[in-house]
Amino acid sequence: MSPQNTPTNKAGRLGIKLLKMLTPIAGVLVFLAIWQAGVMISKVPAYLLPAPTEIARTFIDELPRLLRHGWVTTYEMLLGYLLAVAVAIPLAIAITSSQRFDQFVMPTMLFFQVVPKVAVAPLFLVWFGVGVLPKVLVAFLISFFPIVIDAAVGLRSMSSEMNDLARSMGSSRIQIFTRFRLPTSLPYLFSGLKVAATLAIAGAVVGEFVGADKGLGYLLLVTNSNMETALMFATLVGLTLIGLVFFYSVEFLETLLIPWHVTHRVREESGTM
Amino acid sequence: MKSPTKMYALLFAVAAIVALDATAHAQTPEKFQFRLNWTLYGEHAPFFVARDKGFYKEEGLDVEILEGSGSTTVAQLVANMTNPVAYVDAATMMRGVGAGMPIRAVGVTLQQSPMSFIYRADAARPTKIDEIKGSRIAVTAGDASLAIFTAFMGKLGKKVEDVQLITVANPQSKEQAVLSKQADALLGYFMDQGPRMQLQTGVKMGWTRLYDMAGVTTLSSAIIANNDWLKDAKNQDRLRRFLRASQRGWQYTFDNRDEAAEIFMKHAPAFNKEISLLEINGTMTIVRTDRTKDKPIGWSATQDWKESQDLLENFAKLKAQPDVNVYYTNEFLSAPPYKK
Repeated sequence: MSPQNTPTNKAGRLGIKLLKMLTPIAGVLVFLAIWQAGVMISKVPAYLLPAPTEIARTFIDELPRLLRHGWVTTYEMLLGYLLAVAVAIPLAIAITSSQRFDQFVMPTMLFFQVVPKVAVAPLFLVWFGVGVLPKVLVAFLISFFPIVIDAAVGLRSMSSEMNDLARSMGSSRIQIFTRFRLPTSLPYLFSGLKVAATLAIAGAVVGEFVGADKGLGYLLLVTNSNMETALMFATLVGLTLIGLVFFYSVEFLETLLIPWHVTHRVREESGTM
Repeated sequence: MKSPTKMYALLFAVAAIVALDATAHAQTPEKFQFRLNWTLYGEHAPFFVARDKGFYKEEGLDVEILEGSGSTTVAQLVANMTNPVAYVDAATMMRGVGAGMPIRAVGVTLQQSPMSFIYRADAARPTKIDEIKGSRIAVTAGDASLAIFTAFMGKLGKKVEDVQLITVANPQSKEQAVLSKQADALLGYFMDQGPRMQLQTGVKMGWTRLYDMAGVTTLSSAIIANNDWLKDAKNQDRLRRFLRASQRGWQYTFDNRDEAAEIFMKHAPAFNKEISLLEINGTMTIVRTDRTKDKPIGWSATQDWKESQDLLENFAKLKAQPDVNVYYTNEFLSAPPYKK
């Protein structure tokens, strides 16, 4: 019997694992407890800051409504994000394959990135109406840029030695791209995808702020206007949950696709220490 | 040269200068901030009249008039004392009181609701009750329209969900939505958006007042103050002076529409004389109810508050107050001619 498999050692390891899982939860709980106590002790009026318990109760009471509006925001966000991915990756490939093309599109792209989306958004209402389209477009515009930039950096990151090696082994251009360049770029691409994931939800909400008849952004405006502060906070909780779930889904996809990537190795090693 | 009379004259002159300086010092007007409900429109003209005609200065106040971004937001600014005195829609304020905000109305300048459906004349809808269902109605979140619209729908036995409510974040989007036919109508004030959009864009507009459609009205724009701020006797005195000069400004505007429009335009360059005058004239038709016909400007009647509360309680989920006096007080208002 090797020493690692003794029952006490097993239990100890389980304990560490459990501790690792519980620490973030404990952190959140302490934060909520301080909030709750603060509200109760200093008697902050509910229209300024409702207590967490009240927000939780409202969240449960209004769950059907939150789900209905949450679903709308979710698919606006997803559509915008997928559109951004679909456009950004080919564009990044084109930019990295041709310097002329890079010079050709970069100024325009930068213009679209730098122009304040919140300021342009009201025009979207006039051009595209109040349906899904303007929200998808705002989500697209906001999440598009980090993907292009990171993907381009990734595609350029392969060393020239690697390129020479591949060529000396008789790889074709396409093989170099699919077998070497693309895999090398994945870690960079995913950091762009993760940044974009957190932005896409903001984009959808900005789109809804401009003009909407449903969605969590719409619900935020209406509850604020009706002074239903608890429901407003419950809506914020809903938005945060959607954002978190989406972010971690992308991260999960990353661990599936590039398990060899150094950031994961480092994390695992430090985790077992 | 050294005659005593001359000496006395000199002494007297010095004393006079000192005294003059002292009175001038005492009359250095106090700074006083007043936050409006919204960006400038004709309804605000009387406050600028009171300022430019020197009414505030006569009361020893240097009033700074600030624009607002919707009654809800402004009510919150009053509640947290950022701006202890402001201009807010009464129905929205009542909702704030229900939510526990320490605020009350100290003068109600618009006593009937000007809220209307405003639509393109070439696509007029809704003009009748049975056209409401399914209409696309644009509203600005955070402004005065949602509270009274909810009550309006309730009184007609309908729900807000029966229309396609399109909330937008700013008033320009609301107007653009209607102009570009993304929405059938917007909820706005008949004396503001309707004529203004028509004159600015050349598109002929039409409007139907909620009051004309279903008899729905509430007290409308009011000057409100923070209750805690009002506990200080000095602030009470400041408020009394501010209200007296404001009442005088409203009366002056009522009597001198043309001059008021000229004054207003100086502060709101986006407006021309025609629109300013239209808006001021519209505003002046709803400054009193039947119950306050013979009362000073801004004076509100208990029964009008009761009716406003009943309507909002029955149809818009307002938490009713056992005593409507928590909503308002007339005690800081003055009687005509609104002078010291």
